[in-house]
Amino acid sequence: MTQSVDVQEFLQGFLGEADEHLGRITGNLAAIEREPSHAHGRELGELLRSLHTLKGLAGMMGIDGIVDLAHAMETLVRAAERSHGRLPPRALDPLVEGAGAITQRIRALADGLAVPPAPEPLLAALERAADAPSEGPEPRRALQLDLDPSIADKLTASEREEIGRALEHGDAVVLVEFVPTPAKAEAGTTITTVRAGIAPHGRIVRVLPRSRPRTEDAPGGLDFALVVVTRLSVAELAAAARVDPSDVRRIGATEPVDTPALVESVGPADEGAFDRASRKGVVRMDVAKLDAALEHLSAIALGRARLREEVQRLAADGLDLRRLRAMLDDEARPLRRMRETLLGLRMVPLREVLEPLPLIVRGLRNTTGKHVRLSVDVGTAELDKTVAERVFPALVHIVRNAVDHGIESPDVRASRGKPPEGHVRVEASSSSAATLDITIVDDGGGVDAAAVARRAGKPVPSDDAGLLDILTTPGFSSRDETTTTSGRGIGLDIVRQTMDALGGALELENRPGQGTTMRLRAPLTVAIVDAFAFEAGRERYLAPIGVVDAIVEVEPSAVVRPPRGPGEGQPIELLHVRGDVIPLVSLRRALGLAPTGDEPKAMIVRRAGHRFAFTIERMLGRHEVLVRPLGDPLVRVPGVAGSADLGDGRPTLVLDLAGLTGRLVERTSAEVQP
Amino acid sequence: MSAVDVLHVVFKVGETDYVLPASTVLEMESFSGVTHVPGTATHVAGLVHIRGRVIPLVDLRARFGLGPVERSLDQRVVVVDHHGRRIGLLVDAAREVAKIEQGAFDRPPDIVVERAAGFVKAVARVGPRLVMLLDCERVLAQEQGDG
Repeated sequence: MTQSVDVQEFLQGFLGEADEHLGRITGNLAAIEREPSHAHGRELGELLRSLHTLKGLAGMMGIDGIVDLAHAMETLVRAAERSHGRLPPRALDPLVEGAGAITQRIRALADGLAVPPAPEPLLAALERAADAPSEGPEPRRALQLDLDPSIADKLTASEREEIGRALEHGDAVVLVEFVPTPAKAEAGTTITTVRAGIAPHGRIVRVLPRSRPRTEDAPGGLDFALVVVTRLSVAELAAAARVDPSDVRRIGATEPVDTPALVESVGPADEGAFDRASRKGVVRMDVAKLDAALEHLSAIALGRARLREEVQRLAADGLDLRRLRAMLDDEARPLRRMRETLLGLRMVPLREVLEPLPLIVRGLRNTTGKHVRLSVDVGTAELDKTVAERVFPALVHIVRNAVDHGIESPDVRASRGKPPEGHVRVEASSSSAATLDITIVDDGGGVDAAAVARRAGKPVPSDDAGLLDILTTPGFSSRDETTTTSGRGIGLDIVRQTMDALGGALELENRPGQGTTMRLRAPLTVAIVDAFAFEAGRERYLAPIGVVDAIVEVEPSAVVRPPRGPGEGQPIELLHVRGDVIPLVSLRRALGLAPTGDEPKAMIVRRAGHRFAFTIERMLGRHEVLVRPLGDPLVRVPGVAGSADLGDGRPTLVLDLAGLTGRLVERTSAEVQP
Repeated sequence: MSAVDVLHVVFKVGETDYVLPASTVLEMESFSGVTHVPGTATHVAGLVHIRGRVIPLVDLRARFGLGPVERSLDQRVVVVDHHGRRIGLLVDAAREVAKIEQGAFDRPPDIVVERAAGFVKAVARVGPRLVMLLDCERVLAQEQGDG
């Protein structure tokens, strides 16, 4: 709101680009993390390109926090690339942290919050990792020096490396051959003075004494070859060393052909970075726009339904409308396909969503001291974007819990005969056509049910479901102080609420001493639901047809009112339906509203073996609607799953009849036994 | 004391003028009905559909204990951003904006505090009028649903 118009315009473009680059950076870091012992030329190259472009883009937007982080990371990666083409393991941690810090700042920017400057300790860590002498295996490069083999062969690997670096920096490599003679010695030039003369103007990489046949020019049978790295010209160096210029020769060097060339961009990212047309065919979009498109489609579908009804009426009057009917049918298919396509657009691959997880676990290694490996095996499973957004924080919390509380410290694990490194596995499978099961399995110590019960002041649970109930009690924490990792973010109670709100489930399988398994069941699509529209008290409502067993007329003769004694509370009505007796309640009353008295129909709802009949005014039809969950706490009430648009622009409430039934069952189960 | 002029949106609830910083106001729309949600607090009118989003609507008349009025064309929904939540405030009218100096706000006098039950953060003079700076935190505070 306080940003200038120009920045706002570019902000969306920037966010889209930044997201993509961050994705690549995270992906490449994850790839390196998976196989640290391999060479990662390609990953490092991509990291450099992404970091460099991101830096340029952030620079154009004036976001110093991101520029500084990207720059420090780029320097580190470049240094690694140069020296070995491998990233030393200790360089990975600050890079992962840096990626996380940049992600946080992008998020802040997207939320319209201030972007904090880059944290000094992290910048320092990145710098240190870049400056530290390179460790690791032999450098890939084998410089070919234009030197006599007798000299070249004697150079050590690190000396060659030093020469290589110097050449890259633009220094020259020079060979000085000094033959000591009595005449030179008398003139005051010895090997010592030569070295002293060279020293201020370059670095003497190696001094090689060589034996040679005694001649008049070399009576000592000895000469010296000095390999020097310097910025001076041959003539200048000769003068400094007080040797004959003919004794000084510049050494050429050629790099082997297979060294990958570093692609350098010229200066900061140019405006081409914003050129949408040349990007891969990827479009970033606001999910709200997709939802709007789906709603428009619903409105079209509604219109068609009305059209069909009209056609029906006219046909009843005797008109031959077969051709018209055929046209309507033809239209149905492409509309259905459009609906499927739009729904498909909302799906994201679970693997991409979970990509940052191994990096998060890696970060936890430092704060918890636990060695944990995370493997993600979810195949090609996809899920709805809004579901993914809500499930991800839940998954992160569970993984954090597993590392923090589940996996034991290396000594404890050793004493239990377990490998020192803990293993957390994330897997996904379809448990049905409409749901996805995401399981997090750890090989830690499991949950100590007795300790948990003690802490909560509750009796020891008899099964895992009971244990989970205690763990998901709001405010419950299994440590005296929340640890720095799991204390942050959401708690298990919110995880359960999230899954409930999504219409999914949370399960726990506890194996004391062996580990735990948490299972999240998520609907593949929360979005579109097949629903009945009906009226109750002049208000229109929707309810998913899945829970509705039947819709019946309420014959007054079929209603029974069992006599109730004093103090037994509200009278319960029962409805005879095909030999069964089902509790009957006005839907309005179930919602806490006053019933109208004009409720001749009833919807019979089944939930977990219990059946309830809700009386309503009349049925309006059946529609496929896009359900929008009621996010805000002000309007979150039990019994209402969300809202949908029936084509008139006014939100229509979508009821959670199963939930309502559950609450009623609790209240009345004692009284109504079939 | 700062001399920075901050743009505020001015709206009416009952006979009183209230203001909110324009930076917190996302949009202002005419009011064309609301879907009641059973089980919410009395001042939560329900859900409204505004520019592609479905958001909760808080009836400020109800919040301030004023009786309901007949629907009028002057009524507006003022959509505010409250810690990332989009919430609509139903007001009787919203026609003006005003630049108010940051330092011009004073503590509300006791009589105001009493009537508005703490929903007013501060007061300021705009010309001859006294305007109340709305305390969104208090207005939107969660209480258990009371029907």
